[in-house]
Amino acid sequence: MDLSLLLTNLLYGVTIGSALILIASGLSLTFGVMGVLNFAHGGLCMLGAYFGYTLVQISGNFWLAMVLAPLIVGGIGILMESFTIRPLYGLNPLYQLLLTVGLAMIIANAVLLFWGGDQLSITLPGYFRGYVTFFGIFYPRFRLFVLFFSAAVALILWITIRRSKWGIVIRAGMHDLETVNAFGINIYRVFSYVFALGAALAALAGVIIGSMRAINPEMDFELLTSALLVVVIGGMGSFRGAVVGSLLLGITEAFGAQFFTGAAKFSVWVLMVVVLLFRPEGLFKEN
Amino acid sequence: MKSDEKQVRGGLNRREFLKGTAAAAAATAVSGPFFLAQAAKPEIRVGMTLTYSGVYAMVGKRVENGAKLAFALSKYKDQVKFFTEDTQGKPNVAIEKTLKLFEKDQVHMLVGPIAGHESLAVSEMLKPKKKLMLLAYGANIKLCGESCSRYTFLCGHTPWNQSYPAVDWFLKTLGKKVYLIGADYSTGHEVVKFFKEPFEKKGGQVVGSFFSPLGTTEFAPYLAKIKSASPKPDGIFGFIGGNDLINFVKQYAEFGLQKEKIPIIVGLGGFGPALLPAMGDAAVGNYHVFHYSYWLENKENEAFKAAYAKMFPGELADESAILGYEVGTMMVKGLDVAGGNPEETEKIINGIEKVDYRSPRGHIKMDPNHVANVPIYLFQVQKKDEKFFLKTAASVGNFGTPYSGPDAPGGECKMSK
Repeated sequence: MDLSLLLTNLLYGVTIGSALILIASGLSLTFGVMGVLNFAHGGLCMLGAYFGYTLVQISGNFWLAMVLAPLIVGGIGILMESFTIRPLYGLNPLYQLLLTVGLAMIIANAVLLFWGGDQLSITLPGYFRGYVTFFGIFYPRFRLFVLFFSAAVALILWITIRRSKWGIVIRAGMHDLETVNAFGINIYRVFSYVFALGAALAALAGVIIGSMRAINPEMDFELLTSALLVVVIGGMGSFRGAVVGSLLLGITEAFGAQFFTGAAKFSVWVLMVVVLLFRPEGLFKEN
Repeated sequence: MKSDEKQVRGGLNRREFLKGTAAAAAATAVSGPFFLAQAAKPEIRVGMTLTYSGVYAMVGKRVENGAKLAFALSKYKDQVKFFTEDTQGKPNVAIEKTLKLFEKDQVHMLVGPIAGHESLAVSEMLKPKKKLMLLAYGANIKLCGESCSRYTFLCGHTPWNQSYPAVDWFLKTLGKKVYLIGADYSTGHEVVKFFKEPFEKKGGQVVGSFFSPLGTTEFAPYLAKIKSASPKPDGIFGFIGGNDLINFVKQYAEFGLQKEKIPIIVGLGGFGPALLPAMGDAAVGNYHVFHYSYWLENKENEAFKAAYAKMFPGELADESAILGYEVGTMMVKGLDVAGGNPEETEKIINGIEKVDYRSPRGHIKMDPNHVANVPIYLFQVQKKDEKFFLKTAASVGNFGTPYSGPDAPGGECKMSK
């Protein structure tokens, strides 16, 4: 076995995984804090990719897209939370499930309406194209950036949750909502912000993913599936679980494609089955 | 007004009045039978079972446009009526909608479904009913051979003639070593198979191969394999479609394979005007084996593009549009032979069997297995003034699809009435 090929694939796995962290952590947070499993999360990520595409087309500036697309989708997230999800808190979770599935369909069809069904892709600035060589490994520059950038965002997120006042409120909210409310904190505002944060992170991931691969109106479901897999493997509502689950999934997919070419997609499901057999609650359980 | 009339009438003398009346009578006598003939011109009802939902919505729409354009340019333009149905790409829906079109709407002929598994199912159903179907896509390889039908025509292209013709060209132009790639479903395997066997027979060497699952977004592990293949391939041949191809090509460039000048040659098309912008610079220098390009230079294509742009402003005259146009053209030619009577299915079939004309794609004929014999080209993606286009790198001749003997890809075709 070629060692550099193995190393390349490991690096690829970690890169795919690190982009996944951005999507899965938002999904996991909204579930952990609000108890809402958001089936429109893949749609929000897709919206990020499409807004990113349009912004790059108009301005020619990749960084503008990286900043503006998450802000726009974060704003859409706030609207979604306050007008559609909020009335359903405290009801049977089935209502939220139906609602978010419906929202996902609305997003998918809105995308089809405004951007059409053609394949699109975000054009990267020149300095991101091409590849670098180290230890006999060829590695595309942009992927190296994705790796470090996502790791940095994940780290900032982790520090925020662990150390800041907001983080304390979010964590307290996961444990006991009523007590948090009793401390005079407007829990609904916290919900809105958490949802917006999740949406913005998903959109950021959308811009990144849309630069590496094709954007199309069917990508939402596929992204949602990956994020759900991560959350199931890592443990519902756990940020640590989202990070570890994402990396595990990315690496499994990369090696799956290398060793079982036809069964690359299959390998991640095997991973899920194995994890669930031994730890039905996922790798990490909050509380 | 009334006084004006009076004045005019009053102004005519008797002779002039008689002359006028005679002329009018003569005109009526001449136009009479003509008028009757027009009234007797039957309505031509054309059904379409295409895909109008999901990401393939545009394909269905453009096939429909193309077929409508062919009729609009014909003498049947005022007689034809179209009935469209969405199959959602599912064989059971395709069958249901086809039955509805033939039984309820009483259509005379059908522009058949887009996916190969749909078209085979519908063809098998229509055969005993003796109902006519023309296919733009849906080129199931079995329809070229063992499942061929008198009532089904493949007017576009087949996986075989979008793959095999590249063998000689590859050996002559690029070299003797190939890396084979394919999407892991029937079409991907077919395209690779039709290339691989003759390629090895003629002295070529396959240095590696892989089949990636449909919907693969990360080709990095596969590209790492190509990169470390030994000996180095002279080119990468195979079929990966749509989305997956965009991902593959973008990542192929990221991986430096484009810089190493190891081109990708896609069988069954791939670098159409709809996908090129999404691939960007990564597509430049790569090839595809195909039957048509928007940039093909001939007077039929110029006329087609102009007419299409006029009838459907702002829409793209791409390979889907030309296939719809080809289907419509063949229907018109069949109707011509049947004296414009849409009920004469057998005569229409006889007419389509004998088509031989120049289309925007080049010289088109119909082979005895009801598969169009079409010119095949190798197109290379190039960039000029910030715009991508396809340059005709080679024109490798006319190809149908073999239907007898051991090498017939879809088995032996025994056409019976």
